[in-house]
Amino acid sequence: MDNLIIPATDFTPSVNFVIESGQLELSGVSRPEDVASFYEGPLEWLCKLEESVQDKPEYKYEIPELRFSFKMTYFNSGSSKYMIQILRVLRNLIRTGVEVKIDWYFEEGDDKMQDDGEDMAEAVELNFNYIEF
Amino acid sequence: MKSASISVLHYKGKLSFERIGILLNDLKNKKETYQINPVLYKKLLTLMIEILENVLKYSDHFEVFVMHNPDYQPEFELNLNDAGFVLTSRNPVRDKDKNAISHRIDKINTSEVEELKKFYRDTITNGIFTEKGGAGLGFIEMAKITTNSIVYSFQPIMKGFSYFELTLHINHLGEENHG
Repeated sequence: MDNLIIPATDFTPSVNFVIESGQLELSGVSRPEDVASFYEGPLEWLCKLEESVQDKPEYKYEIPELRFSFKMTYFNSGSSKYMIQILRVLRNLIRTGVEVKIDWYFEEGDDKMQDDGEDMAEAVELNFNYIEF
Repeated sequence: MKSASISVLHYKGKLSFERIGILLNDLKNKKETYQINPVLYKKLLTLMIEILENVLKYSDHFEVFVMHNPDYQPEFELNLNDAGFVLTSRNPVRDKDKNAISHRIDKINTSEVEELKKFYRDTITNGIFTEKGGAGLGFIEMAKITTNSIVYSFQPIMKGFSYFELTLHINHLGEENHG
């Protein structure tokens, strides 16, 4: 699989999905003018990974443990619905036996960002590691 | 006695994605002047985004109307008083949409904290997007952030349209209200 690298803009987060290291990161601000269009790429990439594991179960032994980091400064409510879709694919990967860890970063004192993470984790029934930075 | 109110931001006119960016930047530039702490700043920023993007998303419903009735252009205000910050938006809405808006806000205003959390979880996971591609989470986010009721009203203006006013209150420190 190719890596997926999308630089950040004033309105969209950076996407760094590096399959060789297993480090997947969404970072920055998310309030795209066309939220569906922006998240299409990252979701397709993750779905392709899920399909690869489903088509060839031994593929999960060929990839490293995945560590997905959400390092968001802020995101609008439209983006949150797509972040849930990302989390659903990660949950599917976990169910197929892929090792996935999810790190949710929040700036010091940013209770709202921490709460948002807790709400999302609860909504998709996944455990997050909460990291203050 | 009514407390004095200071105008922090005010905009009336056509709204666009770029204009929202300018208004958010204006807020950033006023942070120091009004001693807005980082936690409160983030909350105000999120509230402004939710309010303004919501108005923008439905602006095609009233674009032609506003062209002929410029007094009813969308309007946004951020004011500061003794109790905290007050965010207000005004924009025309179609009369046929009034019931849906009222129903949604009333449901949020009458929800307890746990009910609101459940409503949020149900909405974020339902996979449903509004006719404009929205998440249907905007009003819930507003209530979660302010922990105050969403104040709203409709002023009839002309057959088929009303002027919708939405007001949010958040205290100086951005702290939650308890009890």
